[in-house]
Amino acid sequence: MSVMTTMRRSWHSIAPRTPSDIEEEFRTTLDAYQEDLVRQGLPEEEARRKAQFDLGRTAVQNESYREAIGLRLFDEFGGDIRYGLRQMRHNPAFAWTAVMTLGLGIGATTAIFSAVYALLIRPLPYPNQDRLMEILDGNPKKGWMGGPLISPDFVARVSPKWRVFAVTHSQRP
Amino acid sequence: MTNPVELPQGTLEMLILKAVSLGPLHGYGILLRIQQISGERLEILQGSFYTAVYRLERQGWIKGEWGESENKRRARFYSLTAAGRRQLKAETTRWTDMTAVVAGILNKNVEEI
Repeated sequence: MSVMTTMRRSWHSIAPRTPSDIEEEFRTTLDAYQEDLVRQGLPEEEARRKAQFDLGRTAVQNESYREAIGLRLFDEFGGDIRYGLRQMRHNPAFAWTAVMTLGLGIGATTAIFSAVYALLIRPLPYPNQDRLMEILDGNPKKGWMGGPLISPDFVARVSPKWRVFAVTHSQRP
Repeated sequence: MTNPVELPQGTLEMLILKAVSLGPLHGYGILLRIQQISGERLEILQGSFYTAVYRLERQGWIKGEWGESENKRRARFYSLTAAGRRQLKAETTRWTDMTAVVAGILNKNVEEI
């Protein structure tokens, strides 16, 4: 079974009736109604107008069929997209500006987020991160707190005696 | 002469189901039957008739098939499905209950309350 056949079948299950099918049925009804009105004594022209007023116009029948089977949102969305494309073709300068603005905006946001994620959000690659501590050098009496400048040798030598940390690890910048 | 009656929203579907339940009909036949049963008092049209028919067919409550009309023209005949029959019954009950309650309230006199 070809792709086209499959598509046609699935479309048929959404909209079982074709536009010409709809139109033929509607036209038959409209004609029959109009003939009856003429038979009741209405002039031809007036009968046609009344029939159309009561039943609706032939041209919009397929539309109301599509609406009745729930394709309205689909149709409106499609219409919006076509309208948008038409407008863009109509005014290329505006279209370019819009596309560039969107592109730059999305690009910048993505770049900044990537950096923020890597630096601040992404968890460090160690287990039990909530128990991870950083040892800093400092002297509160003299009122200064230094950076992480404790020498690795010192940490390695002292940490077994501290019994505070399960594991210590140091790293040269 | 009696006044024409305008239909509340959603009742046209019910009437179509009822018309079709009496035997298969084409679109215009449904219209005529409703007009005839109502004694020509209903103003049901104004473009909404076929939309209601399409919707009922979509719901699977009526089924349409092409056939030949009385005057030898191709026409689409609608008949009630099993689901449509259940729907009609449910709607009829709902409608009867609702109108009975509303009418009961509206018809009460002061002494009765």
